[in-house]
Amino acid sequence: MDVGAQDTRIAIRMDDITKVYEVGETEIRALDGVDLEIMRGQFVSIMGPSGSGKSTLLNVIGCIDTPTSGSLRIMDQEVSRLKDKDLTAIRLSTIGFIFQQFYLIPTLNAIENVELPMKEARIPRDDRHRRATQLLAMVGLSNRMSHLPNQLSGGEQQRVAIARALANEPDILLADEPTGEVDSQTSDSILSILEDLNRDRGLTMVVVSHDPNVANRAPRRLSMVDGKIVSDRSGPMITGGNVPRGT
Amino acid sequence: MAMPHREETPHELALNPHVSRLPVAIRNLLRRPMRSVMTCAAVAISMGLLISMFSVSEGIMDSAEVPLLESREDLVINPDQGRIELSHTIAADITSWDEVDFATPALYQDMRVLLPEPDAVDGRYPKVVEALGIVPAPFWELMGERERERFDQDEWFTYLDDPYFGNGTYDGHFTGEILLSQNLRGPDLQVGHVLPVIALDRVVNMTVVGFFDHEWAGLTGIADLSFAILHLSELQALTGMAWEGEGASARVVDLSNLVSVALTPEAVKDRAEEEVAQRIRDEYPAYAEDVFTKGEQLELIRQETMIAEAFYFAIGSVSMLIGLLFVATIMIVSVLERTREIGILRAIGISRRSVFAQVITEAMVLVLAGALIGIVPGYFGAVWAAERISTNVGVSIDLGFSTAFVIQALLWVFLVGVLFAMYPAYVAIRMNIVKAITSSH
Ligand SMILES: Nc1ncnc2c1ncn2[C@@H]1O[C@H](COP(=O)(O)OP(=O)(O)O)[C@@H](O)[C@H]1O
Ligand SMILES: [Mg+2]
Repeated sequence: MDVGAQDTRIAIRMDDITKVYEVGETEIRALDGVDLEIMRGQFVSIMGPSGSGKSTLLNVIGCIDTPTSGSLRIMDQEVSRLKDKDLTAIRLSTIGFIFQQFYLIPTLNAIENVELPMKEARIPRDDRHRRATQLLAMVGLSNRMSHLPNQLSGGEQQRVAIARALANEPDILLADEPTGEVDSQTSDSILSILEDLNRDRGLTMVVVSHDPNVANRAPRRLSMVDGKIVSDRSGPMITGGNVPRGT
Repeated sequence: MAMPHREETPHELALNPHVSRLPVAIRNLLRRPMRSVMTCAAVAISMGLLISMFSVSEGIMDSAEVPLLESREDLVINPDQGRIELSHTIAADITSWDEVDFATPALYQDMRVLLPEPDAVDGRYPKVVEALGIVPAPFWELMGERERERFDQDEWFTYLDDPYFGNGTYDGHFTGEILLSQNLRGPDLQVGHVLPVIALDRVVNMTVVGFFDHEWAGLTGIADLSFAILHLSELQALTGMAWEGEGASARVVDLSNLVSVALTPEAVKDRAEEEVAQRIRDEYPAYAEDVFTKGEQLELIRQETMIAEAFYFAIGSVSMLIGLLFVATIMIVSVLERTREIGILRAIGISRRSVFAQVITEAMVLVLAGALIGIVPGYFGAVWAAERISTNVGVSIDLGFSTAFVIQALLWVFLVGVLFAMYPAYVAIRMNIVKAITSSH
């Protein structure tokens, strides 16, 4: 085990991660030997053409997909060989996931959607209600709490989804094209929320976007092509003073 | 790592589940109200069939067994060829034994009566009725509660012994009392009326002393609706079962079909049937093969009714299984429809266990709602089926429907329902999360 494995400042660490799909005779290497280290509190964006493996990378980090080979550590815990039960627990407590299409539960209203992961974590009713109320207030939806998803605009739904992702106080927030389905103004407000969360709460943030306006707001910007990270740039605003590893 | 809420105390585990799943389940079901209603209706129909068929099945068993179970007939001599000679004497002898309270003979024999009919030329027409000859007092003692209910106690024999038999021969007083089944009752045939019975070569007048429930099935399950009960010795005399030969060569044979034996309560408690049966075999070797205890008789009845029972049981079970299969299928459809939603649930950290429980809860809401509704058609179906069978087969069957029975059926449906719901729940938890999220549903 190398020195980095014990480093508690690291949120996500990938060593030679591959994800291979067998489609008939051909092999698709969705991730092709990815080495990556993301420090706690970093805000990272991932760009790249369609099919370059961005979603796959995010899904592997988010423990909803398992790599074909390689090692993955999330908050200093090796997860690449964990069973579903443990991966589920990590998803529940450590990771918040935001999807392009909002993906709220249609039969639950805004506050119930936010309470859902807390219910699963067995947080007492009063606590979770209070916390869900705070979270929805934080994303500016205090007056939409009992609206069903189909009574909310796209931007509002995405903000509910953000609140839900934050429900169990995760360490890492993952967002796959979070602004892909909303107009640029809404996109801007969603990004502001994410930036605030990163700055105020020190949340580690990984955002996939093919939109340069979105990606360029991140202090650290990765580019992917054909399942590989081909560039890793840190802007002047970088916090934590870490140097990208393996380049 | 910030995981402040992960401690699972057993207390929380016990409190948390199900309670909050029910409203969510109901909401999910209401997303497709028509489908849910149809599914409930399917369950209700199959539950209705289950209840009515099971209750018919129960009823058949009860109807066949209860008269015997309630009866004091602990033992019976019942020869295949249906002839016991000197039956009064044998019964009297067995009655004298310590373990025996009483023994009494009975005879089943077809007999012709002249029924009143206004249209007939002479106002009468001959009809063959199935007749049962008994000794009234011990026979009444022998019957269980339910059998007795079929008789109006005010309409019963006035002579409670077997008068014509006298002192072991047929020279006594012929009372001419007869009890008829209800269906023979009519304006021209009431209590007190006289019914001519064609006996061998002459006509003997008998007075109708009572009518009994025509569905009376008798201890051996008589199906004939036209039924008469009279004194044993009189039936014997009327049908040639009393003596053989004429004049000086006449010999008393005193034939009957069976001798019923009631043990004393102590002997019953001591389970002495087998002992007494053995003694009968020893002392009456001619009937050694024909002695049956109540247990053996029950066994025979069970074998006879088993096929009918199994038939109705199978219809009910298969119907219920189809209903539950329907629920399972609908739930699979519903789960597949919600593939992406389930993927999201899993992605945000909802456990397989929770998803599994949620699907099961939804299925069980459908199953239980349907099953509860189905009790109503089940009850009426049971009543209807019991009536149909009673009139078609001629054997009255009881209604096996009761609260305990319904609870039993509900429990059965619940357990099998959970079992069936496991498949769609399994489908839900086996989904690949990424594929589920990116699916078009
Ligand atoms: N389930 C799958 N089966 C086969 N190939 C897949 C599957 N999922 C993704 N891929 C392939 O893996 C590559 C990376 O996909 P993805 O990570 O979704 O790319 P991006 O998000 O960058 O558009 C693509 O070539 C895609 O076709
Ligand atoms: Mg993608």
